[in-house]
Amino acid sequence: MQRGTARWMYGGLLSIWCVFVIMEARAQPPVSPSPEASEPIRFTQVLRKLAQNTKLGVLAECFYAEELMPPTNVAMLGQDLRIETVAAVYRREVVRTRNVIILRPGGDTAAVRRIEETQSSVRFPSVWWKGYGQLEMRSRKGADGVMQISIKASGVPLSRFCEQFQKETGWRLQVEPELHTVRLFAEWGSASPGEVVEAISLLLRSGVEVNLSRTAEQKAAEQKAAEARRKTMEQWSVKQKYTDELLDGLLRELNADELSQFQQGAEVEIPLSRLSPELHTRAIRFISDSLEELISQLAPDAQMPLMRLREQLGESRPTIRLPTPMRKWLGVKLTDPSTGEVHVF
Amino acid sequence: MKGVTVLVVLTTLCPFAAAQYRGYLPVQTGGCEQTTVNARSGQWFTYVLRQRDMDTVVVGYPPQQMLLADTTCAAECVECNSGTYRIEVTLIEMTQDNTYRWRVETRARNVAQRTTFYDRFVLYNARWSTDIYKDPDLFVAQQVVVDP
Repeated sequence: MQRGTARWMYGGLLSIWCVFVIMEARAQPPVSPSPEASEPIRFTQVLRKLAQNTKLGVLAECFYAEELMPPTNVAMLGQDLRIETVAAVYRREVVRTRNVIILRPGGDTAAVRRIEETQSSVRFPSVWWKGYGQLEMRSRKGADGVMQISIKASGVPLSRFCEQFQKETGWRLQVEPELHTVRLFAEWGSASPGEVVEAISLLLRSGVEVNLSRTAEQKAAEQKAAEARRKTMEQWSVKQKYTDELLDGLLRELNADELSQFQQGAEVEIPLSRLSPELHTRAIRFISDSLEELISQLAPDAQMPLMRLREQLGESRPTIRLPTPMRKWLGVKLTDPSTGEVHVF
Repeated sequence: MKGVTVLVVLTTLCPFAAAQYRGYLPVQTGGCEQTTVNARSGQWFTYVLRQRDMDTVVVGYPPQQMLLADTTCAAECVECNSGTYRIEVTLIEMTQDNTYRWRVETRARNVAQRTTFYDRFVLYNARWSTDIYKDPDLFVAQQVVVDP
């Protein structure tokens, strides 16, 4: 073999080897860090990237034992993080509410993992979740009282999450003691407190009990407002005072049929002739005062018939109308003895 | 120098002098546009209430009168006897002389004979009761004759 030919052959072989090496290198998965060369990818980091890629919130339960990923699994994730891939790699179920993706462990897995984690945390307290615990919550309350909260939490115990949640929103989230140590990853741009609670209950497969309450100040303020309104109504009509005073006595005068009608909201009337003497006297005073009040508020032209009735109250067949759901006070019905016309006020 | 001192003193006291007179004269008027309204048993009907509130405020030194229209006028039904439903009170017009016209609408009660009902209203300023510019409440009653 000539010398030039041999050199040409060596050169060719070298080129082929180079091409082979390059192609082999390109055939490797894109994220395959050598365990010694780069930092291991942590589950919470994967979740953070996932939250950045999607516009939705992400909520997951984290286990310290899962934080360090085996390199092969990292390779499975690739560059293109998708919810389905992450769920498959970390064996999570995907549940979605309107604005939140929840990655929750299977029921059995969660139970076993939680026990293991508790044991390890007791055994290795100085390293357990060391460097974690980032928790940021910011709430905004609109003028109409609607609240939105943004959350960033990474490896945070649920008990601490609840404390902060209460500080920010005023919502007291009580969790059973066995779940206090559950570690959460949560990232929401904007969510209502109700959505947060729903997502956590879905993550933990827990029931939710809601207790709505008002503060003592609110109750006192409402009581005060009701009292003020009552006083105003007393100033607006003498009927308020007389209704309080007479109604119980009048109800006692009703027969069973009338009482049933009254309770069903029907119009019930009692002629004064049916009342006991004592109640009759008070009822006459009520009618007289109501009549005076009405006359003083009527246009002069309209006052005459009522002024005539005032003079002939005994002959005008006075009747008391009991309140109805639409009318909260006692009413009066008088019949003009001369014209037979009925007046109701 | 003396003149300047006097001028400074007068300028300083001017706001106090201006503020020493302040008075208030409430004048609220109102009532029903019609003395008597007629309606048919079980039929819808309306009537109109009027309310006008011009307040006279006296300010400054020498005192000057200013006539102000109170824009917090409000009307509320105290007692509805003519209607089967809750009475609706709606503002339908505010005239140029600051008269509020309130339309009252309800369905007449069912009657077997001619009956005269009386509805009562309060015309008031929607202000806190401690507000010095709040006028005393004004009560008016409307006569409604309902025929079968």
